[in-house]
Amino acid sequence: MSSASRSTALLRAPVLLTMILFMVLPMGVAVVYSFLTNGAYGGVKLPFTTAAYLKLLVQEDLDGKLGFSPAYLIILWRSVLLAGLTVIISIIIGLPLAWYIACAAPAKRGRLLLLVTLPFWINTLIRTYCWVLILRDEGLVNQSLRRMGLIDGHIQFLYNDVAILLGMVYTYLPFMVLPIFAVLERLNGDIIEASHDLYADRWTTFRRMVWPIAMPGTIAGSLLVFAPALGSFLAPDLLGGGKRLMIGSLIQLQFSSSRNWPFGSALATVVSIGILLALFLVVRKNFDKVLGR
Amino acid sequence: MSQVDVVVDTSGKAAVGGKVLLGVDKVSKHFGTGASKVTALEDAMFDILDNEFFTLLGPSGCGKTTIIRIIAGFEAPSEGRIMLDGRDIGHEPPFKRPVNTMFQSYALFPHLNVRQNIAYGLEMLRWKPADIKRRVDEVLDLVQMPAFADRRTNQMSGGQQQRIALARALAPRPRLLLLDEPLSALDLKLRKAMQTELKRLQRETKLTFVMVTHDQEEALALSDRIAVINKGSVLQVATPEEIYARPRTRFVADFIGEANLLSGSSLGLAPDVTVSIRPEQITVGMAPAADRREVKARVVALTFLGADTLLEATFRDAHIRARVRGALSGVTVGDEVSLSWALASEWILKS
Repeated sequence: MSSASRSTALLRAPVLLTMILFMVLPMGVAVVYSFLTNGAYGGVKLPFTTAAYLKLLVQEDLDGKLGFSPAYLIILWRSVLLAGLTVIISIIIGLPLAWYIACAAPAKRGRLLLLVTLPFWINTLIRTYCWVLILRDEGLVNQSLRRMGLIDGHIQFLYNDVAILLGMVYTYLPFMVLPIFAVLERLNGDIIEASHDLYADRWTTFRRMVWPIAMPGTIAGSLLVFAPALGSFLAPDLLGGGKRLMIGSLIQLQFSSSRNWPFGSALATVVSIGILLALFLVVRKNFDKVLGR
Repeated sequence: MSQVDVVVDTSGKAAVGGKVLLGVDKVSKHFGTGASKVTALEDAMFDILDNEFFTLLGPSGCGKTTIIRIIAGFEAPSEGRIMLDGRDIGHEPPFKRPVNTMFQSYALFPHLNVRQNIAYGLEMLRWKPADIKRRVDEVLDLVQMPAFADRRTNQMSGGQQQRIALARALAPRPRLLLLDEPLSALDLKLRKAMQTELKRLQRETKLTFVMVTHDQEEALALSDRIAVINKGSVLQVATPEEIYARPRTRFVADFIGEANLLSGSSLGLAPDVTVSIRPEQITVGMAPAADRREVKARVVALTFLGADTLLEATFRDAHIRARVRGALSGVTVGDEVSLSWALASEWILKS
């Protein structure tokens, strides 16, 4: 090995070590666990089996016969759907917001960015509970509406998919705003004016200038929102009431009350592979846009 | 160029000839309201003629950029009208005006290549694809960048980007081409080359160019007519020769070229007048004559500049600078010299 390639290898070592220690190893453990047998009081034991993966598709009915059951697949599908909706709503709110921040005067821009990142300083659990306080039957919104005389009793805001969506969009919106802001920052006002100057009206300017230039940031933001939203369990538990399960809650359940570690690991593996696959496809298709600038 | 009429019509329109294309009619622009109200432009009034190279000249923050932003439609005038071909376009959005701008920052679209950048305006005007292709090639030839059509703009130098920005603004054949400090980002040598280039383009395309600059030399070299602007007011609109020879105010005299502004009292004239005399009009040690004014002054500095020598001297309360061809022999700092100039080269300004 030449000295140059040896020093390259040495320089790479910390990154590789970090990735192996914190990413490959835990995921490897999850994959191994998913093929092991369920222990009686949690944990795993030998022998190796594919029972956990079968459980995803097949369920024992009352007679002890095995039959196809879509229950878990439905939960998985619901999770993908809700995470996808979270991404779409985040784009609809995040793109104009990022655009507005990018257009603001520098001093104001700093303050607005601080506001966007401020929620990160508070624990997600606490912030999600705050939404419960705001939305519950005797919460802030219902009380205000009653005081204004708009309603008599109360409106049920909590414990449905809309509440889950609200919680997820609220939690992950900054992950959408920041990357879009980063690309829109270089789209200065001159470019918008140049587009108007060359006979493009406002809508055409958005379509031909703002949208394509914001695209790499939107893709990055979508990945950053989709991945954690898919595995999210705080919002479904607290705002969704825990009855309408999402995959994140389901995984969490397997490691706590259900004590089925192999099944939890199998679910985690399926989700991880799904996200990696989506990531791979999106990045490969938009490689130039994301990295090429 | 005939100078017969300029005494009557000091705007120099007669010297240039041609019909009025754009009328800036008593246009004012205020920003903010109440106590924080700032007036960027006050009662600006001038005409821009068809096919001319018109320059808005003034120091930074004088309001010249505000004028072209109002003409382009990026700002609306607070008062007054912008008449294009006899129609008030002052409140039309920029995308409805047959006016194109070359931006100081070039503002090239970063995600489009050169051809797509130039074609953009033509696509918006719904030209046929074949016509667009022909026109893009044509303007690329015009700015001498024919091989660059498929390049990305971020791979190009400042000078090249500038030509592309110019080509993009020229492509739709606007009634009026606005150039906002077009050469300010270039180094000196490139700037001189592009000055010649701009003048050639204006002649070849027969378009009306309106340029904003703070560089008086650039304005004098390129323009058919110049509007000198300071602190939001248009001080004088005239041909370069007229402005240089007969500046209307002290500011114009001082801003355009170099000028000695001598108080009337120091020359034994009425105290409320100022005499403007260009340094290159002054001679050292010439015999007195009836048609010349002479002052005795003490030399305080001599600077050899190669082609010229700059002599600075004081007399009474005044400081005077003379620019003499070549080297000046037999004079040293501290000497008293006789400085004189033809009365005809003086220009009297009312204070």
